Amino acid sequence: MARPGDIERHGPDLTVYAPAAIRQLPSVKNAMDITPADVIQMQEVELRVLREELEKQKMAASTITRFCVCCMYTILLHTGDDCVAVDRELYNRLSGAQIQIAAWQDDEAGAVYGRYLEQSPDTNIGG
Amino acid sequence: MAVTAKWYGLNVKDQWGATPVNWVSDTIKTSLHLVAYVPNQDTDEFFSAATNELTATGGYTAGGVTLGSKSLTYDSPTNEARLIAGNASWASATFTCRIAVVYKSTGTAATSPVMGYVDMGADQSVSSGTFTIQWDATGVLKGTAA
Repeated sequence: MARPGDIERHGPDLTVYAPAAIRQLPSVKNAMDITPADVIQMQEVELRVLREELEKQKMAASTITRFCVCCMYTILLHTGDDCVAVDRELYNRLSGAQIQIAAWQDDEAGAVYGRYLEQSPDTNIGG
Repeated sequence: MAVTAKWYGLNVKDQWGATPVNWVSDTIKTSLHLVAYVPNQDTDEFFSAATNELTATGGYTAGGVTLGSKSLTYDSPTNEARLIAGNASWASATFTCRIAVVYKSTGTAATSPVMGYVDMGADQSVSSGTFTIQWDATGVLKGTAA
């Protein structure tokens, strides 16, 4: 089933599924400025772009912090995924942020680790 | 590449200024543009800024199509003001476009405020088919009261 942001062709016909315009997706260069409030307002297609960007960046590690935290929060809150990956080096740098995520999740999320941002299983924490 | 949609910033500002839009009673149109038109969210204010509109061939008419079935609603659970409209559609279409612009038509480009735009992510071509922009169920445009 088509989602906002998709384009479908049926024979000669073409349908563009436009998402509702809400606000500008922060550019990558401004990603550090994303706040949780921004993330909450993002539309589904923007979340997808953000997720793709996160995957692409893997660990542009020295510029992680807030961007990474917001991406993880986004994925957890809006996609139904149950985990977000953090490698150990990042985790060590993000301990404060990890605590914040747990607070946002009302402590129900438990460990916020998983498959995104993976470098290798051995260096990952959790899932 | 995914389809994205944005407000024009000045249109948001203008809702409290001299050129507010009555979504339901005003004539709201959607036009199509070539990739050469790169919307400037911060400076484009009127339709005259939306350059490189498709030429009036292949099922496309200058100025685009008028949106019907419009309504303005407020969704209290999400605090969203929603600008709803029926889909924009071009039958027997043969053209290529990249950007769709939603604007209030006054009949004069220089006084027709642009409201929002859809970037289709890449050139989209249709040949002797129907080209449709299906708006999100929550609106063509919407604003959230934070």
